Amino acid sequence: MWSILMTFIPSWKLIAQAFLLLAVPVLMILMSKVIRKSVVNTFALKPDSPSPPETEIGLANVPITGTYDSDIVTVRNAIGDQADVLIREIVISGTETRVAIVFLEGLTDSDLIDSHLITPLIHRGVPEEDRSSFHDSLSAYLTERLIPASDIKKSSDFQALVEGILFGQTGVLVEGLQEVLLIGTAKGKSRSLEEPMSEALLRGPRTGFTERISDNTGLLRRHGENGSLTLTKFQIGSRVKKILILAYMRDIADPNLVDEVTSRIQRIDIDDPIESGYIEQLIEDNVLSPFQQMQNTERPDRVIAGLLEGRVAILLDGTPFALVLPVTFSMLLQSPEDYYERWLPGSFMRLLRFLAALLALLAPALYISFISFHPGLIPTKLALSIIENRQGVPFPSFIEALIMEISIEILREAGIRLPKPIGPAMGIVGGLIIGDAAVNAGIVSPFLVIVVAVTAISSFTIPVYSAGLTLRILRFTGMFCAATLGLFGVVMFFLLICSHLVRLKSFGVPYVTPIVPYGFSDWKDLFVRVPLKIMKMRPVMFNAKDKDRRN
Amino acid sequence: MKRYLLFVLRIAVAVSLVLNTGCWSSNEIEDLSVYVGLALDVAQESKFEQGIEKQGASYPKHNMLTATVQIVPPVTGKGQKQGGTSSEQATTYINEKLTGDSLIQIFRQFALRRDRPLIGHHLKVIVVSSELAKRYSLEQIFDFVLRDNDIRPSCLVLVSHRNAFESLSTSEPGEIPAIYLAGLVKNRYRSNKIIPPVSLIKLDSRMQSGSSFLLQNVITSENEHKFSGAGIFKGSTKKWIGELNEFDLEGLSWFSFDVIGGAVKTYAHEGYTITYEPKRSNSKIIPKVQGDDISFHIKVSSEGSLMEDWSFPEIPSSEEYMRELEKLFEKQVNKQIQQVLYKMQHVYRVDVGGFNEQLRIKYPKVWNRVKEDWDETFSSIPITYEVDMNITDFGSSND
Repeated sequence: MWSILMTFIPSWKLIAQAFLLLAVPVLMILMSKVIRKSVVNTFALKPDSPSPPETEIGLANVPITGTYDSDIVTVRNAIGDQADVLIREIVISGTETRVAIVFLEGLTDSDLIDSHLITPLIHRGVPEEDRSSFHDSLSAYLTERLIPASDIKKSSDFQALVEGILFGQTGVLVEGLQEVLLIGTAKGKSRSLEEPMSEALLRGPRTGFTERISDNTGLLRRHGENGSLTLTKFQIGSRVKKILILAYMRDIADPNLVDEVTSRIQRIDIDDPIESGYIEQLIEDNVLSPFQQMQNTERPDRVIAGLLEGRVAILLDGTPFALVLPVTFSMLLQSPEDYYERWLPGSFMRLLRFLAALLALLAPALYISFISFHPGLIPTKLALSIIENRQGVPFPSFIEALIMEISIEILREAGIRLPKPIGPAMGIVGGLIIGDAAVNAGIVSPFLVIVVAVTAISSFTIPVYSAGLTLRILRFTGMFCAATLGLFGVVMFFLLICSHLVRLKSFGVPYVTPIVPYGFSDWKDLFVRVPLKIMKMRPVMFNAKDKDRRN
Repeated sequence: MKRYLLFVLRIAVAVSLVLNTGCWSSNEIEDLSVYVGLALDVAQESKFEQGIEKQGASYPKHNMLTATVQIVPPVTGKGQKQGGTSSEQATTYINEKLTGDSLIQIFRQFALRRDRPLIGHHLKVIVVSSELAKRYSLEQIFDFVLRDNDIRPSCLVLVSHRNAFESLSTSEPGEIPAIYLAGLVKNRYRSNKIIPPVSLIKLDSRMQSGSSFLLQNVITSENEHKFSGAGIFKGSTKKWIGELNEFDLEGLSWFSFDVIGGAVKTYAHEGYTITYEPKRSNSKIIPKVQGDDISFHIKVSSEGSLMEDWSFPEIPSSEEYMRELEKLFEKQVNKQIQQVLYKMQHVYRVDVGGFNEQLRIKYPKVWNRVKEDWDETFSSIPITYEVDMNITDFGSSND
C-alpha cells in the first residue's frame, strides 16, 4: 500500500523543477512591481515634495501707488532692462494727466496700439464738458469712453502688470490711478493651415492643426454648428504658463471620464509642458508599457470623430498635436479614410493594416525561427532555394537579421534628418545599394532582404506614427525571443504581449476592447468597418451618455 | 546611490536570465542536409565502402540493405554559383549510399561522412526495390521510417522494378529526381495507369489492416523514369509477390478507384483506331451473399468524349454511330477488367481491388468469418461485371 503510494510521488528533481516553474512567474511579478514602483515614485503625478521656486520677481503684493513718478520707476526697475520692452510716455490731451504705455516689441500689435490707444489719448483726448468729472471717475472714464479696445483688464499690483506685459498685453499706467489697465494686444505669428505631414490622406479634409491654440479651437468650432462642444480651459506649467484645452461633447462624453481627465490634468506639476507629448506622459496610466495610451493626431476631423464617439481631446498651446483619449489598440490601426471611403474598401484596408501590423511585429522573428529552428516547416522548394542562398552567409540568421534590421532603423532615423535635396538620393543609396551590396558581399541572404523590406514597409502602413514606433521596438524583442527558443519563443512573446495588452487600460477602458472584454456590438468597427447605416450606436466601450449615433 | 545600484543589478539579472539561455537547439538551415529522396535496395556496397573496408574501416554489421539518400542542394561556393557554367549546374543533388543492417545506424553513419547532419522533414519519396521487398517484409523495412519523428507521414512510397537507387538519378540537368517522382503522381487526371498515391500513413494503415495492396511501380532506363504498373504486396507477409502491368492497372482503375482521365483505345470494325477519353466514372462493387456463397458484381459507368477517330472516309458523328462506338469501348474495358481479375484471382491470388472493403461494410458477419484467409477465398469467388460507357461529346469536331 505504502509502496504503491510512493510510486505516485515524483522524484525530488521533478519537485524542484515544479517549484522553479512556480517561482519564475512569481519572481517576474515581484520584479515588475519593484521596477514600476521605482519609476512611478519619481513621477510628476505624485510629487514627492517639489523644491520651492528659486527665482521670483520681487514685486509680489506691491500695490500701485498712483503716484506716476514712483510707479514708473518701479516698472523700469522691474523690466526696464529687458531688450524688447518699450515705454511710451504721453499726456492725455485736454488734461495734464500723464500716461505711460508699456508693451513688448514684437509680441504686440503696434498698429492697434497706435490707432486704439495713442490716437484717442493724444488726438481726441477729453472734451471740455467732461474735464471736471474726468478725475473723479478716472478708471471708469478711461475704459468706458476713451479707450476703444475690447480686451481690457484692470489690476492693482505690479506683479500682474509685469506678467501681463511679458505675455504680450499692453500695460497702461495712468497718473493718479491706483490701478493699471492691461489691454489685450497680443499678436503672435502663426502659420497657415496645412495638410498634416504625418497623417496625409487621399480623401478627406486637408487641414491640420497649427501651433496656435485659438486657431485649433476655432477649427473644432468651425467644423459645424454644434452647441454641445465644450472647451474647458486649464492653465498648466509652473514657470511657463500654457493654455490647455479639454474638449468634449457635453451630452455625449461620460462625465466620469471628463472628471478623471480633469483631475489628472490638475495634478500635472511641471515647469513647462513643451509639447502635448509631455501631457501624454504625465497623465498616462502605465509608464512602463510600450504601448501609447493616448492617440495623438494633427487632424481636426479625427478629433471631432473621437469626440462624437464619446471620447475626450486635449489641445495644448504651442503644438499641432492634439491628444484623443481613451484609446484602444484597434483604434491605432484605424484611419479616417476607413470611414470616408465606402465600407468594402474601408474594411479591406483595415484588414490589410492588421496584417501589416502583424508582419511588422513578427516577420523577422518568424524568419529567424524558421531558418534556425524549424527547417521542416518551410515548403520544400522554398527551403532548397533558401539553403542555396544562405550558403556562404557567415552569420547565424539572428545576427544576420539584427544587422539588417539595425541598419534599416538607422536609415530610417537618418531619413528624417536628411536635408530635403539629398534625401531621396541618400534613401536610394542606403536602401538599394547597401541591401544589394550586403547580399553580394555574402553578409546577408537575399531572402532576408525581402523580409526586412516587407517589415519596414509594413510598419509604415500604421496610421498612427507612434504606434508604428511601438511595433518597431517590440520587433527586436520578438527577434531575441525567436533566437532563444524558436517558434516557441515567438509564441511566448506574443502571449506576453497579449497578456500585457489585456491588463493595460487607457483611462478606464481596457486596451483591447472589444475583444477582451468581449463586446459584440463594438465588433462592427473592429476588423471590418460595417456600413454606416448599420453603425447606429456609439461604441459601448466609452460609456457615452447619448448612445444613439443618430442624435 | 545604493538604491540605483540595486535597481541596475535587478535589471541586469533579468536580462542575463534571458540571454544566458543562448540559442537552445538552434541549427541553421544551411548547416543541415535536407534529403528529399530515399531508396532502399538489397545490399550492394559502393566502391567507396569497399575501399574503406579494405583499410579496415568497418563496424560489426550484416550487409542487408543499401540506403541511398538524395541530398539537396549540394554545397556550392558563392563564387562558383555566380560564375556558374552549365556543367556545374548539372549537379543539383548528391546521392549518398551506405550499406548496413539497421536503417537508423546507416543514417547516423552519415554523421561520420558529412559535416551537415541529415534532416528528414523534407523527405518526399521512398523507393523500395522489388528485390528487397521480396526478401523482407515492408513492416521490417519501414519500421524506422514510420517511427522517425522527422519524416512526414505524407511521404510518397514507390516500388522499383530494378535497383531503387537508379530511380534517384537523372541525366537531365537541374532536375531533382525525388521531386520529379513526387510530381508524377499528380498526373492522375491525365492517365488511369497511375494509382492514387500511397503515402507513408496510408501504407501503415494498409499494413495494419492486413489486406494486400499495391504500390506504384517505377521503371528506370538510361537514367530516365516511368511509372509502369504496380507492385503487389501480399497482406499476410507484406512482401512483394509480383506486378500488375499498365494494361492491368487500367482495368483495375475502372472499379477500384475513380477514373478521372486517361485514354481508352480500341479499333473500329475496319481496323481504324478510335480513342475515348473518360472524364468521370462511377463504379460500384456489389457483394452478394447467399448462404456460404459470396459473389461480386461490378458496375462501371463512365462519361467521356470521343477524342480520336481515324476512320477513313470520315463518318459523321451521328447518334447511332456513337452508340456503336460505345459498344466497342465497353468491349475493350470489359477485356481490361477481365484480364486484371484473372491476374488477381488466378495468377497472384490476392485481392487488391478493394473487394474486401465492400464485403466488410455490407456483410460484416460474413467478413469476420472469411477474413482470416481472404486472399485464398477471393481467388475462387465468381465476379461478374457490366460496363456502361457514355460518349457525351466528340470534342470540337463539328461534322
